[in-house]
Amino acid sequence: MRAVTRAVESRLSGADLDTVRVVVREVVAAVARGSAPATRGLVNNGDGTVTTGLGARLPQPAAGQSPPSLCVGCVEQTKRNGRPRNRAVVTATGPNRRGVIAQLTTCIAERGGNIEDVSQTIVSDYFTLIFLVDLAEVSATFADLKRDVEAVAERLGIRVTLMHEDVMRALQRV
Amino acid sequence: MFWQSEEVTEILRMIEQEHLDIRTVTMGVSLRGLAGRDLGVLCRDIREHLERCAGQLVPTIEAIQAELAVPITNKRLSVTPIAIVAEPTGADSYVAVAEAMDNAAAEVGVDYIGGFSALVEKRATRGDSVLIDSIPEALGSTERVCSSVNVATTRAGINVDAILRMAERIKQLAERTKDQGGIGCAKLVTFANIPEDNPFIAGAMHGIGEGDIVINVGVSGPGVVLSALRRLVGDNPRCSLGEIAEVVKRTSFKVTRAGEMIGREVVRRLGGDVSFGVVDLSLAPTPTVGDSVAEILETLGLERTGAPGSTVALALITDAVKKGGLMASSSVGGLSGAFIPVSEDRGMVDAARVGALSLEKLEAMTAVCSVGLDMVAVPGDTPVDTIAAIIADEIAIGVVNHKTTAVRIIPVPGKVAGESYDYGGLLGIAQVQSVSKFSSEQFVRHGGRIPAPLTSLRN
Repeated sequence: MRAVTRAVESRLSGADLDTVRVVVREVVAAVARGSAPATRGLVNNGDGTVTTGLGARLPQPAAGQSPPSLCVGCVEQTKRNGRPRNRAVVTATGPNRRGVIAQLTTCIAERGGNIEDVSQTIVSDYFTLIFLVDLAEVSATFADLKRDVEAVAERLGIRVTLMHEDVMRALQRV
Repeated sequence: MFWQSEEVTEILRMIEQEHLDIRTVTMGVSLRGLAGRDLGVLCRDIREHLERCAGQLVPTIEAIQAELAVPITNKRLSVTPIAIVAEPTGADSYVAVAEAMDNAAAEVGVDYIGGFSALVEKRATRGDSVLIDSIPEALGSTERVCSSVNVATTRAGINVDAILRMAERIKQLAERTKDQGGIGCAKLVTFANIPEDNPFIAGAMHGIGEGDIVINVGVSGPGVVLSALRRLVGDNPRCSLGEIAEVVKRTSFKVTRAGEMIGREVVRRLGGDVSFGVVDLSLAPTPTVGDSVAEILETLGLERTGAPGSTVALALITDAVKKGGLMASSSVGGLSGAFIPVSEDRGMVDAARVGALSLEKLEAMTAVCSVGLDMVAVPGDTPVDTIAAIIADEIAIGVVNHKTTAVRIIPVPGKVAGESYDYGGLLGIAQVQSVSKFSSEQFVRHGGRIPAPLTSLRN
């Protein structure tokens, strides 16, 4: 996923959300087909399936088919190397405009956050973006990260919420 | 694990639009080790001990709130019943102890501290009597101190002498704080079967069976339940009451999980001797529109809360809240049910204003929810004996039904039935309700103790 994020950052600064979505899917499809190196986010298993960085095993898309969505469903993987995961769910909403993903992801990446998954929907030019961010290498406090991301959101004229993943786990899983 | 966008947006909606919050994180602190013969030393020790134990409480909670994005509305303290701690001093007044509690609460940044309390369900010791007699001055001269007195249990019966004494103190306290509509009475609760781990003010105390330092959490959630029911009824106006109960149960589950998670995280971060106590499942309304238990009842089809059907509707809601919450937490306690504090619930205030909700109907409803006559305003000239009889009636419901009941009643000085007083904030607007003009004096003045009911003999 970090490779995907870098691809988005390097190729799409200033692009609109639809363009970003197409490129992200291209990158995912390239990894799934084995034409791109395995990344932390996606691994080609060589048996017709691909495993995402979140542990989901998905069928490898055939040529001409749509690649798997980044939103891979609810695969439990709360620990890595025996330690609890430390992740944030970042939700951004607002009117669609150029550079939203680029600026948010840049802000998060510069502070050490690793975007592990992205989901987006656009209805009537109004978008909802959800990032799952690994905080393991974030040097700043959660409060500082939150303040910085909210500052970016304010400049973009969108609304953003940072919430620790533990809230989701507590309320949505037994 | 990744999350479906619907799951994420549901949580955000609950927090941002439906008032999901953690109503209170309350740290209970044992003061038993501080008891001694010198009142001055005791007061100093209480202040120092509370500042030592709770110094990091508020910063810790605020950091957790920032990370989890779930509002934690109140941070509070509760302590061992002061009548027990202060009795060895032999002092004639415990007002100095209340002031020490008040100062400590201000120092650590909590808005209320509970535990200026006595347990007199059978009889009062000298220390209990001193505490009860100190209540008007103690609550009238402090900002943050709350008091509770347990006057009955199912096992001990009802101490009517204590009820009479409480009614007198309530009148005195109202008079002492008459410039603010008798607001002191909002900090005083008379209990039957008082829980020892209740995190909610004003009835919070740290029971004598508790550990050194305990974190108890009170969840909220009327707004979330209300929204879920509005969606259900909106989509299917002919849904059955069983389906309604199921929706409440599922919603309560999620709300309680939030409370459990936050309580345990507070304990983990504070470390040391701090242990996790309970999650109190109560639906706790606020004066905010849409955060009302009364509105929940009205969403189910009652024209106004207080109309026939209100008691059974409240029973349905309370039971479903408990069932959902029990599945979500390994440690449920406190009051756990649904609160119907009149002034603090906008729908209740409106129902009282239009005459739909009488004091008598409210009393009936308290038989099936978790508290009692809570934040009930009555005319300032209501006689002491009548207040005592109102308390005794409510206490009897708790004693006979093996449940907690309580009375937080405010005889608003200078006000008559039909008038109102705005206390502001979470205390809301008190609608002064009419009280029976028929006297109870001769009955309550018999005094003494009503023996424990037959249902207490379960051994």
